[in-house]
Amino acid sequence: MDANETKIEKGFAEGRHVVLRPVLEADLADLARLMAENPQESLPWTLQRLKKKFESEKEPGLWGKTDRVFVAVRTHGGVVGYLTERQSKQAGIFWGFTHVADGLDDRGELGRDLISAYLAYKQKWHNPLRLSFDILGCEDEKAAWLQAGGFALELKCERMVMHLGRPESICTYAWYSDELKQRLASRDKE
Amino acid sequence: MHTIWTGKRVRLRPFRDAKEWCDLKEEIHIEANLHWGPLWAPRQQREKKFEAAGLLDIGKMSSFAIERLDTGELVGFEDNGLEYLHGIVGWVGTFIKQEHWHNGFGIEAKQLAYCYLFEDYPISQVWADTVECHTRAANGIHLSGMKFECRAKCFHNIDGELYDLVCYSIFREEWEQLPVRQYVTRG
Repeated sequence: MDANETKIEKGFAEGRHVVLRPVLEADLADLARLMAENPQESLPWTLQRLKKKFESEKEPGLWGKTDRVFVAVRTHGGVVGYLTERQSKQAGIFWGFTHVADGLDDRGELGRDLISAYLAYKQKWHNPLRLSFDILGCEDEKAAWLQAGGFALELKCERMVMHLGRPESICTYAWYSDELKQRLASRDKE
Repeated sequence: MHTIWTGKRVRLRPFRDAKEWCDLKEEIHIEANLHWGPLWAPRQQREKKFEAAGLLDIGKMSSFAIERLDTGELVGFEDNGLEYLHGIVGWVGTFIKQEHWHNGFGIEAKQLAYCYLFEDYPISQVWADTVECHTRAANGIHLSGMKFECRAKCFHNIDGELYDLVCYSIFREEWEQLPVRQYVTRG
């Protein structure tokens, strides 16, 4: 879906199939399940652990100064995915980590929609210079969502984490703003 | 598990106490770093960080004092850790006080940190990164045995210019060939 087609309401993004919004307490059980599914998460997430984090003073509501979690909810209800955003100390630079529930028939559509909704949200409110998503090398579906959303493979780092008993690479997919593309083009000319 | 690694020029050891670490950090970070910018943190915050595990917490961040062998002076610190909790990658970051530059202390401190990480943890490689314009750091990383790995474009702003982040790594099998393994002493 084209980012321009995305409708945005109340500061958050609404795609064709999913809405991105902050996490509510009622979402925690679904979120814990999704986080446990995501091979990128380095902690074994349980509802108890997630509740503790949700109630912590440091990042109440999983909405900290640098790390913020969004849930992806179907437009007609039901948490199907999430996206963790990490803001760099450098202005306009953001990292994302995302997951959509395994086994859904329309997982591909939801994933693509989530990415495009997030991109539209960032462009509307935060003037991003660059956005990056890290995924494991074996996560082909996520790579396809990101590529469909205008992200391109920037880095591939071999043997970074263990996944299903084997060393796995981490790939960074990046999206550059027009401003950044111009800066890079002028720098290359120099 | 060892806590002290001694090479030919420097020794890595735990900081004696929070005061030693905080004093060094204040001395180094009272000015904005030429390449990384301001890295200041209040003393109270640092003391709290030290209290947890004396800066020897591989799950978060560890930091060793770098002591030169000829005079016994504290010349800098060697930060390190694991990149991801379920990861098989460690990382290092080195700061040497300016008056002790150009003596090879940072290079050897990195090599000693590789010994610590590879000997004690089941990792496959160690990473370091720096800003592309920080050529002194890049040279030191190269000389310590690391190889260029990748470049992340436009990650760091200095004076209105965006600079790339350049990343380097050393794999376990490459570290096994380093001469430092023959002369490092542990304690």
